Amino acid sequence: MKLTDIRLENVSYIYSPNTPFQKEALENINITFKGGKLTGIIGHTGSGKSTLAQLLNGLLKPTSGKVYLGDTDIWEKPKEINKIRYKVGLVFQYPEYQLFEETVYEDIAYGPKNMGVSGDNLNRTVSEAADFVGLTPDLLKKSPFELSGGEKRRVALAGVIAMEPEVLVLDEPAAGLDPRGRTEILERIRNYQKQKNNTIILISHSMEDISEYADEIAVLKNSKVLCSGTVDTVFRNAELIRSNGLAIPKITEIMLELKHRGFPVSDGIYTTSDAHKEIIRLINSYKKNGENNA
Amino acid sequence: MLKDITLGQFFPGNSPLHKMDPRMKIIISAIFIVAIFFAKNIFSFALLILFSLILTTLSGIKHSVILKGLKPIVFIVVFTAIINIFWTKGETPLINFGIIKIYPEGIYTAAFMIIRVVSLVVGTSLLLSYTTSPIALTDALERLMNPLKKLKVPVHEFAMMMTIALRFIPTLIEETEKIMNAQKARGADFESGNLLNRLKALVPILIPLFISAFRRADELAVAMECRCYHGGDGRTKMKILRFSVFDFVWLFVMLIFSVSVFCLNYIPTTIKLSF
Repeated sequence: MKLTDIRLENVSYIYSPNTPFQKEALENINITFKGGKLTGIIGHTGSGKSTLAQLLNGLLKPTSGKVYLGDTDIWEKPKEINKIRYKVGLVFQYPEYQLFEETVYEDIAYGPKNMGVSGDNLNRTVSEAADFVGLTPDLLKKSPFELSGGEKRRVALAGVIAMEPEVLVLDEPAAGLDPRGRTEILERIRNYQKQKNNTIILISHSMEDISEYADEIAVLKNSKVLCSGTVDTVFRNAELIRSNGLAIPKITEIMLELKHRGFPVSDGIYTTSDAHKEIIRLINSYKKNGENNA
Repeated sequence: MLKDITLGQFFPGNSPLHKMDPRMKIIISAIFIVAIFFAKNIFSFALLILFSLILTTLSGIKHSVILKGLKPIVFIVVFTAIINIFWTKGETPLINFGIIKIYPEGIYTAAFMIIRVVSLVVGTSLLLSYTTSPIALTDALERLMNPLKKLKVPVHEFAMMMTIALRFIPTLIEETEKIMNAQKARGADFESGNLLNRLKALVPILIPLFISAFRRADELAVAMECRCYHGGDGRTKMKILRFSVFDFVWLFVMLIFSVSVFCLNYIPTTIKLSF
């Protein structure tokens, strides 16, 4: 599978322009989401995350600026915007509310059918998608309304995955799920990305989730990109993120605090396992020093 | 976009129209409507226009807003005007094309018809929808219909249903938009194809919308029961409506206006109307 970049160039988006309700949702955004990477977008409510998601697959047209999928401007042929929507799959917040078919199978097949997939190909793509999100074959015959909340969410996710998009955009896929449901769905997404090696954009406001699963991070604040880059580089700026009122992962906060108290821990630690290693290293080095001193 | 539809377009403000008791607004609107249909000659119509203009100025609502509110009735107005122009018979035709004869009476009737419909819409929307919040309006309706309770009409329940319905219009619009976007992201196409295909394309919107409407209704019912809602009996109001002197001044002005409209009809004019 080829790796598809998705790039925003000077993109601004204004809701209800030239009315008293005019609201600038995004201001002059320049960012590239690298192909084959899982990029996390993080920001407060109202920072423009969801608007950004809808710009990526052409549900919204930028007020100014361009969105490129690979090398093509997605609004070059406005009549063929549907083709872009097949290439950039978007899973909305609480996607379980969009289910409508009689069976889970039919619901997952809705997107591919709209694309003109049929017969064996349809069967294959639906069962593959169901498999990716961990739905057992017996569930496919059930009505989506009989399922539990977490299962419904996974059906909706499969509905988009079944369209085999080159880029998958997920708006808060874990919102409202219990901790186990959260890990499960995020793990599934991560595994899907590893197997397909395609581009995934994960929107969330949980720093923990993003730091755990993403390769790259973009931080949005007040309609602008505050900082972006690999997880390492972004969390090296932990102070900047924190001073802008965004939470950093708890573990990074602990490490920062240790550093403030004079322990020589390294920057850019954002997972518990890394912190574990770092602290062990630190303890060992103290032990060594202790032995040397003694 | 769906969001641009303005429903129950209330504009908060502090004008004399805003301050009027909503019950008085309903009564006054009723009198105004009757007065409009009493108007029969050029003088009474002039008074009608004058009164509508005064209401517009007093309300402080922008003229552009009022003009925009007239958009939906343009078709009806134009249509009735054309019918009136061609179908009203008089004595000497102004234009004679053989079968098509246009009489001056027809033009007058059409003009008065336009004034009638426009002032009806402007007057009632200024008094009711633009300057009264939907909640105040249903509250007022409930109060005014109170005597019907003696006839076992469930007045409070009707008012509550109306309030809830109004409250949920924007929510459902937002929900529809969300679902439409979600299905569009899955390749749904609402804009092309023949009528049958377009109707079919609505299924993926309507089913989730109905389901969520039922879910919301259910949640709301539970929430209301949790707060011990048991209908209107013994329920007290946070805002108790009281007529002020000011409201009666309005009533008085309105009565004078209607009587004047009625009297002005007796001033002889050369323009004859067919109604």
